[in-house]
Amino acid sequence: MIKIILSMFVLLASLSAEEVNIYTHRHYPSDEILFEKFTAKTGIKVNVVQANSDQIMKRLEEEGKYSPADLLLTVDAGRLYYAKQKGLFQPIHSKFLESVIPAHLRDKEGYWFGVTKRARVLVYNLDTVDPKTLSTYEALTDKKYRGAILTQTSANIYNQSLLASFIAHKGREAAKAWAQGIKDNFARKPTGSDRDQMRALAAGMAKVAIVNTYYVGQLMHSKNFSDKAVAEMIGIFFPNQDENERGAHINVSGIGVTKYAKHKENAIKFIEFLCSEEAQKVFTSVNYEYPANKNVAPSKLLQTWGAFKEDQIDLSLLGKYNAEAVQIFNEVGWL
Amino acid sequence: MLNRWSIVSYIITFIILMPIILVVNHAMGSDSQTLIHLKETVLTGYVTDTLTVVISVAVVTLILGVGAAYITTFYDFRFAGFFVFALALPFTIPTYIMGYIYSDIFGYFNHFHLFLRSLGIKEYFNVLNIYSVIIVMSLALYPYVYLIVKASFEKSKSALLNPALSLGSSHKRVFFKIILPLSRPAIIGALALVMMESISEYGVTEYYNIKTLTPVIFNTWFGLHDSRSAAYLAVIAMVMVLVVLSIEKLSRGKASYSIEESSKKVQKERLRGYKLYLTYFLLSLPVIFGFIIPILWIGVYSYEYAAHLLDAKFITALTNSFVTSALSASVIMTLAFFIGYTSRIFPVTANQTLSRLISLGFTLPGAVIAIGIIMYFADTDRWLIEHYVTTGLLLSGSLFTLIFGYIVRFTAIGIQSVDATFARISINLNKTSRSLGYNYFKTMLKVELPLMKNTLLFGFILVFISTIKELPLTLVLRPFNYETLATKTYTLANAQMLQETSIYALCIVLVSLIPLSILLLKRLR
Repeated sequence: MIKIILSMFVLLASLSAEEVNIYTHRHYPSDEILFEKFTAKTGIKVNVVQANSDQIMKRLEEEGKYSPADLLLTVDAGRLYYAKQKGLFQPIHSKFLESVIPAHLRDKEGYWFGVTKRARVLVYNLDTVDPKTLSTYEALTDKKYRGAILTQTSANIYNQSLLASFIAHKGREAAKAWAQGIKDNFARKPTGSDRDQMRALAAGMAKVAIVNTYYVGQLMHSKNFSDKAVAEMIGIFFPNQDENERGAHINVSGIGVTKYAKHKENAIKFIEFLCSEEAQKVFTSVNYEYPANKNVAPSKLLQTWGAFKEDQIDLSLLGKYNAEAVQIFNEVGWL
Repeated sequence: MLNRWSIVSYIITFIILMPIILVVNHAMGSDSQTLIHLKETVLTGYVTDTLTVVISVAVVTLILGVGAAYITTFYDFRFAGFFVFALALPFTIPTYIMGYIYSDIFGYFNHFHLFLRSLGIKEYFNVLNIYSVIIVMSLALYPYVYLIVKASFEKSKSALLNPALSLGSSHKRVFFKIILPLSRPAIIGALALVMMESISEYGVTEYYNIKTLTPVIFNTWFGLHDSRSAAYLAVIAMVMVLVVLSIEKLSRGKASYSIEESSKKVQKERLRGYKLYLTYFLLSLPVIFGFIIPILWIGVYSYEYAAHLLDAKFITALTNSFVTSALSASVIMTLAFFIGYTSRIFPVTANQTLSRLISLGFTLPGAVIAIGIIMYFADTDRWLIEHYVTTGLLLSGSLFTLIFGYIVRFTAIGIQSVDATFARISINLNKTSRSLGYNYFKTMLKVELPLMKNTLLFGFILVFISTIKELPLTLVLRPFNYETLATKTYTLANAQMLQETSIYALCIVLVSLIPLSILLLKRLR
């Protein structure tokens, strides 16, 4: 009897209207807007659990083939790589996605696709720094920046990925020397968020901070008067732009269809929607991220920051070297 | 001792402990390479910071909590009633919100520094340091000590103060010689909660970058991708707390803390002159910094968004918070009462160890417990499916899982409050009742339950408020589209939407205020 009731219960759940189930790390207003738009457009209901990436991935892994999740949406390519390694994704093919998302922003075998792009750049205090003196990430280890660099802790995934890109390009020793050099130039023990680094920068505590671009946009459009003031006191600099340089470090928010997705078609539809012009415009205008779709222009605000050369490294390498990067941070004491 | 009571008690404990056992099991076979790496690089610093934070917070909350309880219980002064209430209020503000508020107020471009600028002071003060973390945590956690210890003081004062005073002792002497030692189970219990919570705190420590064991667990699990070593570290933290608790229980030995209650009114000493003003000053400090400043911040930011209080989304989040918290708190207090009663009537080592073991859920970081729970229910679900009971996940991702999570995490609070009161009620009462023909069960219902009614209500409210504020478990265990006040606050705070955040934070405070007021009006006045 119990068995029958229970199986009816499960059956009922699966019979309900068209839907797609998402586990997401992203907690931005832009995403809520897009979920609603998708439902309005297709009639497919979007069910969401939003939680910290590493933990929600563990939930997905443990639920295994019975997991209700159809999609995993997260930030940082390292995590996407890790999800693929753990067998949480399945490859999909979509002519649309393959044509609009540049190759370096997606998994080669179609396990995941970048949907937005963010650059980890230098911001500087307009009063005390002449941007002509800035050049590369590497130059920040110079003695003249002693006590002048701000960035987050090494627990921050974007710092981990930045260092992982150093390992990938230049090897472990060079990466470690860079991390050591930056650590030696810290203006203070790392604390707070990317926004806090910019606040301290504007206050004159340091010359340069390493932050993600969309946080600058958030400060500029903040309802908080003081954050607006901060945004006016800092400039953005894209490092490593010279001809023989690799370009500014970029990272993605990305999404993949889960290995045991029950609504695979809806899931693919959803990814295609996120990469459509309509959705990409929301990402770039509401959350100040760069569109992953190469045919969509960044928002006006982002255009004022200028075009830049991006590091075209295979983003999977960021995941591959993630643990090693964390080890280096521990070794040099960038904590 | 094997009897029906103990067996049921063992089974309950086992079920609740299962996720923790899974974490411990996971820690076996951890990679020694990772541990060596951590030991060579960061571990010493993390252990130092952990000890600094935990011990400092324990000392500060002890002074604040016991001091406040002492003054409001034994002295009479104008506005005493107000302070009894106000001193409990910081409990309604989640620790991470408090940390967030102070980092905002002292932000380089905010109120505090703008004020300095207006005075012509050009210095900047960075508040994101270990001292601020200690202050913030102490402000958020001292109400545990205050509430639990005050309840204990109230119980003993009428019974002891009158006879002692009539024999010529001074208030102070009676307090230090009799009442303070008698309240030891309550004080230690409350301190244990404070210490456990400060070890597992993550929000503030992360934002202020203070390296307690919880961040190193995260670093290892999610950075080095070595979940086994991370679990191993979590187990170390757990064992440390277990040792402290055991030492305390052992040193308590067979000492009895029970007294008869008396309903006689006690003549409180009246404060006058400089002592009165000093009292006002001291009692105001935790109230101002722990509640008034944060609530003003929340209030100012949420002012514009007051209309959102009527949104459908808001009402849903409110209802969800209320229902899950009330449900969890009811279950927890029932279990705590049952387990406490069992170890009371069969006071063998095994039964008494249980109440300590079951508190372990409070020492582990919420996210680690969450993973234990995820593994637990995934295993259970797989078993059910393989045995053709169900065809899909039944428990994983259901509301049941979330409530179970709260039970694993917060039963410690229930147990501590139940234990503290049981220690104060003579076991002879139970024996007498049984010699008069009631069995254990009837004695429990007819004799002990009425005596424990206030304690259970008290524990219910502590658990209820803790659950409303809880974040890491809620985030990862919740079902699809399930929002509570805490998850809404977190999401919006992360997106730096201060106005929208604060309206939800305000609601957490308001919802917590209702039961807290009931408690204080009923019990402490």
